[in-house]
Formats: sequence, structure tokens, C-alpha cells
Amino acid sequence: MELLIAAGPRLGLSDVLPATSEPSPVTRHSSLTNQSLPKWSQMPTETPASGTLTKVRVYVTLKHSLLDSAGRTVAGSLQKLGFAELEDVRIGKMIELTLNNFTEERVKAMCDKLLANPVIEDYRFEVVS
Amino acid sequence: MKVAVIRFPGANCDQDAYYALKDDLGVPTEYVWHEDTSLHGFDAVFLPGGFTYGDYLRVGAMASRAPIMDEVRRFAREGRPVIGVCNGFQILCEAGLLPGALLPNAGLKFVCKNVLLQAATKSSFWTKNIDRTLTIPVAHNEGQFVCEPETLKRLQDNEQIAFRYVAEDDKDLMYNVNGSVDDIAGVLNEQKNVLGIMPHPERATREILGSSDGLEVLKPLLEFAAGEGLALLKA
Repeated sequence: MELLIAAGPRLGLSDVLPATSEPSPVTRHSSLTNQSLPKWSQMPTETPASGTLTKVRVYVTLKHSLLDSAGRTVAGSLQKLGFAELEDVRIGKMIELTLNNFTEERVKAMCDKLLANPVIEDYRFEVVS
Repeated sequence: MKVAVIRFPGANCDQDAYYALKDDLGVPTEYVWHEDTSLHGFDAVFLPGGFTYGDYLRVGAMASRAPIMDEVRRFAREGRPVIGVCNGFQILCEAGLLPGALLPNAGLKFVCKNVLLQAATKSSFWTKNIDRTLTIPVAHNEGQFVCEPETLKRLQDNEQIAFRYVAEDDKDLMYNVNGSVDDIAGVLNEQKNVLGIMPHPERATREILGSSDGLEVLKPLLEFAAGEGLALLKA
């Protein structure tokens, strides 16, 4: 998908993935109005006017008070490869969100409600585009 | 008395639980779909093990947000028996119904074997009649129970630790198969009606399975069936 966006005309997410996103009013009745629908090549080349898409990266990491067994194993391996300067490795998750109408509070709510577990994890996020 | 076995996409111990409860324990049991919104007519809940939602994001994370969980929360609040086994334990932690969380095993390997268990408290209806060491299988990749030091202290002081892994003898150094803090294999909520346990009692309910010790863990549901449990609730 990254390639498609970089090489071709700029498509919105809803153009690239019509099946998985909320159908637009035009495609919802596609079986009735199939004839009048534009072909792929005639699709609009601009991001839909409904809102600008914002890409946000959420980083979820294990709390420092907890032992990261996977991180420790990777650290051991790197040290065996000669990286003696290595003190510690912590492994976390990066979750990329593409959003319509980004607000910080909504992303925070997503993290609090599902993306991170406050018992074992911390999170932070940044807007990348 | 009727037990609900909740079915989530990706759970794979739901049938084990259903038949263990219905045939081996002898308590009326029915499946309930995770998108249902009522547990009307049921008295207890069993959250089975498995790999709900492919264990994506975190184990139990997505299942803990399923519609039926509001009803499981109500059961927990009302003091009814709720038991979560393996992935079911993880779901209860993710739902905030049990303290702590379950991380990948300290040895980073899936562990599938019989373990020895001892009840760690007499103060809950789940564990009060268990006096001997039980042999029950585990099968998990994320069974390392962790919690903040203050939480652990609270669990110890309130006797909320239900089961601990125990060693067979002094040579048995790997008895705590996942590196859980304080050898914890099962915990209770504050009210002690919600039990989360990593080993699978529903896989040890008749001798042909290698052990019938799992019945000891499930028996309190029968007591509820006999009405004793309701008296316990009021006490």
C-alpha cells in the first residue's frame, strides 16, 4: 500500500481498501448503479474532501519495573555478536493509526481503552504526517 | 444452577469445559456466544482457554471488550462464581476483574505439562475444601503472572492468592513453569468469587485423562448447585 501511494496518484485509504472501509454513498448501491460508477483509472486522485488523513504512531512499551524476557534474550545475542557496549534491550510495539480528523484526546482514549494495558505497559504517540 | 461457558472466536477449550462441567462434574451447562448481552437464567460463568482473537495485541485484550463481558462484570459484582482458565484468566485480568497481568513465560517457551498445585487460602469457596496437592496440566505461552509489588503485598495480605505451583521435591527446580511472581498459579478478586487460574482443571476430570484432580477445583460449582454457595454469598 505504501508503494501504491508513493508511485501512483495519491489515493485515500477508502480508495485503496474499498472492501474493508465504510462504503461511501456511491458504492453502497453499486449493484444498482454499476454502469455509472467510475473505473479505477478514473477514481479521484485527491484525498477525499471529507477530512484530512493523519498518521499517528503509538509506541507501547513494557513498564521498566518488569523483566522483558524477550529483550533480555536479544541483548544476550547482541553481546555475543561483539556489541559489548550494550547495556539493555527493551522490546515494544509500534502501532500505526491512520485517522480522519485527528484529535489527541481520541488517540489517548484508544490507548487507554485497548491499545495499552496500564498494569504492565506505558505508551506514547507521535503524529508522523 | 446453570453454568455459562462463554464462546469467543479463537477459544479452543470451550468444548472441554462444557463436557467436563456437564458430564464429569454433573452440573447443567450451556454455551453463551460472546456477542450475547444477557446471562439471564445462569448462576455461574466459565471463561475457557484458547487463543481468542489470535492473541493479537495482548492475550485476552480483545475478548475482554466483548459485549457479554458487561454481564460477567455484573456476576462478579453480585458475588456469583466466575472462573477463567488460561486465556480465560488472561481475559479476566484484561477486563480489570482480577489484579495483575500475564506476560510471556520467563523461559520464552510454550509450556505443556502436568504441574503440581496447592490451594493457598482457606478463605474462598473456591479453595476452602482443597487440602491435598493437585496434579493438573498447563498449556500456555503467556502464563507469567506479574503485578506491582504493592499489589502483590495486598494479594498476600487479603489472601487473594488461590493457587501456587509447588515442587515435587528439592530437585524439582522448574516447578514454577512460567516464572510467575510468588509462584502464583491462580488469583482471586477482592470478593473472592472470581477465580483466574492458568492450569486447566477441565482437562483433568477423569482418570483416563491422566488425572481427575481438576474436579476439586470445579466442585464449588456443585455446592452452588446445592444451595450452599448462595448461603456463602450472603455470609
